[in-house]
Amino acid sequence: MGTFAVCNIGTKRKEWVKHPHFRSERVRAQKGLIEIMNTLLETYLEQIDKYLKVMPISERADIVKEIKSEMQELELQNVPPEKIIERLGGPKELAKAYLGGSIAKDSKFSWQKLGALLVFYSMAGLSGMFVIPMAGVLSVGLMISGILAPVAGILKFTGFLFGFQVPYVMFRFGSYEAGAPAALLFSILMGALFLIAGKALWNLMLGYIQKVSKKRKELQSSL
Amino acid sequence: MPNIEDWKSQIKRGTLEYCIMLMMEQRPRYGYEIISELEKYPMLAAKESTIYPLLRRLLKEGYLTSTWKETTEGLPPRKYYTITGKGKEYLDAMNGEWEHLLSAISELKGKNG
Repeated sequence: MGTFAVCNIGTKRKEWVKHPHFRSERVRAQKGLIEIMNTLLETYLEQIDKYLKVMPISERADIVKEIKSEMQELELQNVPPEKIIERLGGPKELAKAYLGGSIAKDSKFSWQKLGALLVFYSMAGLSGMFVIPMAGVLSVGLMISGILAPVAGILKFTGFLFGFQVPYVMFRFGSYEAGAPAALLFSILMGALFLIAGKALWNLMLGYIQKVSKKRKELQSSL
Repeated sequence: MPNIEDWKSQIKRGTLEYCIMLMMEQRPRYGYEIISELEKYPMLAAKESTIYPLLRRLLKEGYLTSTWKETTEGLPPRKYYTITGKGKEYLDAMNGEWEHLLSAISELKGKNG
């Protein structure tokens, strides 16, 4: 129970951790209580504790104690430490499962939760506020341009065939202005390019949305 | 070969809470006990990373309470979970919905048979 003999002092723990003799003190405390945990398991618990930093200390200590309790149950059944770790899964994944749960449920506000939320949603939620509308508008704009460009080119070319100038419709690139036949060719080419770019951006956005919503689902379903 | 695993994990996710509450109705239990009990049923077996956060949520919602039982006779300290009055109401409601689901399914099956 070494860690928890220390942990249970509760509020004083922070000072303990900062203290240079924290480690040796803890080892001494463990030896005093006879029970010395396998270092592999001990490290695992320390990592869980580290990953749960955003949680209140009391809650974190309780979680670690419960995992430790299961480790000891398994040890009593002579399960080797490697198998115990294997069973529990990576410390990061296990910690994340706890974090996901505490964020998704319990709607009360706290700065700690805000911090955890920001970390979780900084990838998905916040970027989505910009990426999705921008990509959406841009891709639709590109696709419309892709259709309008050849239409304009055909209009210009038809005008040219019947021998009149179509006002406002021209193919310009810097100071160069293409004649009607060239303009038709260019406009069809450009139109195709716009359509391809618009479609590609659209697909990219859909992929992004799928990824984000999948991530969110994972977050919620991790309970 | 149809991929049944996806569907199974969805069913498991949806029913685990119900199964745990059913177990809690019988008597207080500790986390590892719940996990090993569920392991007996392949359809319900779930990892620590699923069960512990789920128990935590049930605690926070007031359906369960917990107490630590410190070491007795060389056993590790155990965190026992107990169902509350609110938890029993919740379980009753789930029992009702479960019946609805079962009768809907058997009715649909009847139409096919």
